[in-house]
Amino acid sequence: MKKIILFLFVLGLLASGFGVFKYFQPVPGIAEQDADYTLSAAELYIQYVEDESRADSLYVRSILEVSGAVLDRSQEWKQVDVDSVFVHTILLDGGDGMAGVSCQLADVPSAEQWQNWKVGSPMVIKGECSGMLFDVVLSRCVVMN
Amino acid sequence: MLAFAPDLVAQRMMTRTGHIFFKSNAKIDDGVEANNESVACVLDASKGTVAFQVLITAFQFEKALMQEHFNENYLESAQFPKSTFSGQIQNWETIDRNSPGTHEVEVTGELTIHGVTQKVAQTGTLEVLKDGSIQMKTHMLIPLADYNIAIPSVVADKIAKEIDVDIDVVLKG
Repeated sequence: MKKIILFLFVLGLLASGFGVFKYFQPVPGIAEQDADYTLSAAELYIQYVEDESRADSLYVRSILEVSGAVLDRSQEWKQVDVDSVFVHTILLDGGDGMAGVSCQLADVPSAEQWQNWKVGSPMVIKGECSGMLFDVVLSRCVVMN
Repeated sequence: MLAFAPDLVAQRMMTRTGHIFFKSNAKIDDGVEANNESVACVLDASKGTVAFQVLITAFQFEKALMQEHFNENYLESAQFPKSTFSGQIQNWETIDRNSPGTHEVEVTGELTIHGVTQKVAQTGTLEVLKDGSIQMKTHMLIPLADYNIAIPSVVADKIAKEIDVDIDVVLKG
């Protein structure tokens, strides 16, 4: 009987420990994860334009590795609670020269990197797909090339 | 100070990188807070109408479990992938877009979250910046129950019933 109680107690302790571990586990970084899909910005964009619901079912919350040319880019200071963050976004051309795949970078790039990622530059970017607004939106992105 | 010729002032202004930050009402520290840096917003400057679209899965949390619960249990993002707002800036015609300056404004319209639409009236600031772009900011309180966002009973006394939301968009023509 005592052994059973001890066993259940240890089991409970392990379960609690696992629960605490899971609770505090951070969102895993994109760089450490393999892409679920690899495709061009134009391919991704046209799939969304043609059938947003189907594309959502395939890609939302998946890791995508997307290649394409820089159509536009922006860097903005944003207030986050009591802190400020420097948010960098790269827009990859979806093929029509007006919209495409908007990639919000997870980390602040160096000045040299940002200088090199000019309009027209070929890029390979990995990020988590969130869906489509004006563009297909990828979050927490890392530049692969 | 720069002055802008009226016919050069853009009629349609937009952003694809608007910002929303939310956290639980400050009285309870439950770690519920997240950022979304991919908010889409369009302003029709000829009428003063404004529209926002927000992807629910683009809200970024620090903790993986919180992000999972937010999407799968609270906001049910697979079923309701976007939140939207469509409304009117009151007394839009009194705002001089030719001169930089800050204005207190009220925006009225319809806010849809989790498939539920509510009429809202919200005050905030609208600043005409030196380059002609417009920055709109507001802080609002959103009661979860108003949008059928159910809090599981096991955590009901730990999660705040209202969410503090900060919105900040810079619109360019």
